[in-house]
Amino acid sequence: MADDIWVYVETDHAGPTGAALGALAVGAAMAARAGGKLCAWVFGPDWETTWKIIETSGGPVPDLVYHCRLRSTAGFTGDRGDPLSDALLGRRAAAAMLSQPEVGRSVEAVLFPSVQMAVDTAAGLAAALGAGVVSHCRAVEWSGQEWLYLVPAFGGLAAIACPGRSPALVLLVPGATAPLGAVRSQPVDRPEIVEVEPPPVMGGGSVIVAESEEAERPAGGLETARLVVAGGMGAGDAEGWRLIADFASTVGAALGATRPAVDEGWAPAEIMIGQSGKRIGPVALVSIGISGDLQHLVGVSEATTVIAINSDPDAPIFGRADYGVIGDLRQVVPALIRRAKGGNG
Amino acid sequence: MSCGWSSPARPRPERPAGTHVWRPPGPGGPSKEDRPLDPVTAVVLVKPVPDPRKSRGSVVIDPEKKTVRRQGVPLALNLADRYALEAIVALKGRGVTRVVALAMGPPDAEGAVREALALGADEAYLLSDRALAGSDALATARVLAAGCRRIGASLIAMGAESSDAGTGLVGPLLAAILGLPHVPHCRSVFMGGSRGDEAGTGPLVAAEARVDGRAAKLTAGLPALLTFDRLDRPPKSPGFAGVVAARSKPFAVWSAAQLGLTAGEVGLAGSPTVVREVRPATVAKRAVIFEGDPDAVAARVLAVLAEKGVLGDGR
Repeated sequence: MADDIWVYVETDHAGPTGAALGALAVGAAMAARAGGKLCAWVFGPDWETTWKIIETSGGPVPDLVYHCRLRSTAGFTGDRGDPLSDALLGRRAAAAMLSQPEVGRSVEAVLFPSVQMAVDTAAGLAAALGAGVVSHCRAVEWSGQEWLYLVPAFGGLAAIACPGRSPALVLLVPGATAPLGAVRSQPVDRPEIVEVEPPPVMGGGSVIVAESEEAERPAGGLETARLVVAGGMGAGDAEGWRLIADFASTVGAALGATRPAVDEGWAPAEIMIGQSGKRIGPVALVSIGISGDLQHLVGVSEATTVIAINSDPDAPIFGRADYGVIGDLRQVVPALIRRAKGGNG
Repeated sequence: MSCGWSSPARPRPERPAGTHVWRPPGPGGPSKEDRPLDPVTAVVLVKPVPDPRKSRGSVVIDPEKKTVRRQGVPLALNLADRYALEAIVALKGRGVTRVVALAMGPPDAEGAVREALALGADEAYLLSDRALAGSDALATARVLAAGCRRIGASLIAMGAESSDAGTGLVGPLLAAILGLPHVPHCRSVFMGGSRGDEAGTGPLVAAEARVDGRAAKLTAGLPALLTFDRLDRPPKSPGFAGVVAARSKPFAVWSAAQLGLTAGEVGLAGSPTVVREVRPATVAKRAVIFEGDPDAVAARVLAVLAEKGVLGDGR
């Protein structure tokens, strides 16, 4: 019976990341429901650092930890201590997981945080096992018969199952929610530790990081703005887009865009909000000409107050918004700009 | 307790950090002497997706198969794939000898795939077969892997994500199936020769990439797979000369059988993931609707912003 849940615990120099701890919490709830074990795969410099963080986070304690030491191993690219070099070792890490005989036998799912290292690791496992991969998973549900992994897709939410005998490989977005109703008692105070050696070499060569640095973030960026004005396909053309951008600058808001608006070339990809773009959490979001499909809504889920302006009264955005204006943005937005300039701001 | 890697304890020569073994693409491979470099065939994977300009971004779902319907909707090349194609076409004569566009899709994707020829690909192939319908990311990657093998690719490039399904999985899966290094989220790419170290004496690819919040310069020896991000500028459009030249370039449709794929590996049968249902975006709450003329609603919108205390800051 495949009941165990494995969690891929990503670490940085400080220990496990927040995303990894979130994945552990989802895994604990799944393991509790299934009556299986919670096993953590920790890839990082040393186990003690990781353990201190898990212990102080108050999160679930895994029953079993496979610890795979990634740095200071002769002959591979992570030796430089560059975080990205370590991050690109995913394929090697996957092979270490694969070498365990339990995989495919007693493992129901392997949970990963959605970072590139984990995507490549999951892909390596999937290719070797013929296992299903689910990316951008935002919630896990028990249907009564099987696990369902909910992902934004097709403008809605797709419930994906992996009915085969191989484990489901699931990439969880930050904040992904655990199945309800299963509370796991803390079965152990300290997990059993199994040291796993990284495999000596992987086929196919590897990627070398010549150099890497923290990517620049524009100051006063979209992610931290308290007021965001976002526009979508409803802008209609570059002229309509300019109206939205004018309103944003008039009220001192950060400007955001949906994917279709970026695809149209109206807005740069850097300001795209959504599943594969930025995630924003402003105090107020003014959403203009955005229908509100799920890929976009994922990116605005943290917004406190949402005001939507759209000509289609059935647009899903009105299901997310606190306040709505059903109307043509070419009339409403100029009025907003006039009023804001007139001293109401 | 230790459960070590299970391969026999064969001593491995220690190599300095930051190097890897380059595996030559052909039997024997190039020697360390001044042998001319092997010709490099690059395959750019282009995905026909519902044209966002014509379908207004909406995607039609097959109610039974719960897959994206690509038959009968206007199709265009996935945007990120166009940046990949552009980058690889620019390498022609600079290390890349032949650029092949490869797509998987319904027969009416031919027009979209031919656009790749107009954009500079030398040849284009469409993998099209009813047996491929409903393939998930893994089954799709298997099909594309078979196509890449048939062409004999030593450099594979594609968009990091598609605009319709957007799983971002096909590139990493394809790299894993073919056993290639994956250079993710490239923004620009260069070809180079030997680095003069153990990275190999053959061609190397170097890329500027944005990975997990870091800007990086990455290199890999060929064969390798690169995935490209969308860039901030519009992709190049095919010029008139390109469109004319495309007419005389080779194009063919390949079936699953021609690729040596069996029914169990591809399509719904070969897909380990199953979409059980597609739920509409849930209506969690109902917005308070402001009514009236534009001036009146504008006043109310600004009143909400003023009340939240967000007007006037952040300038």
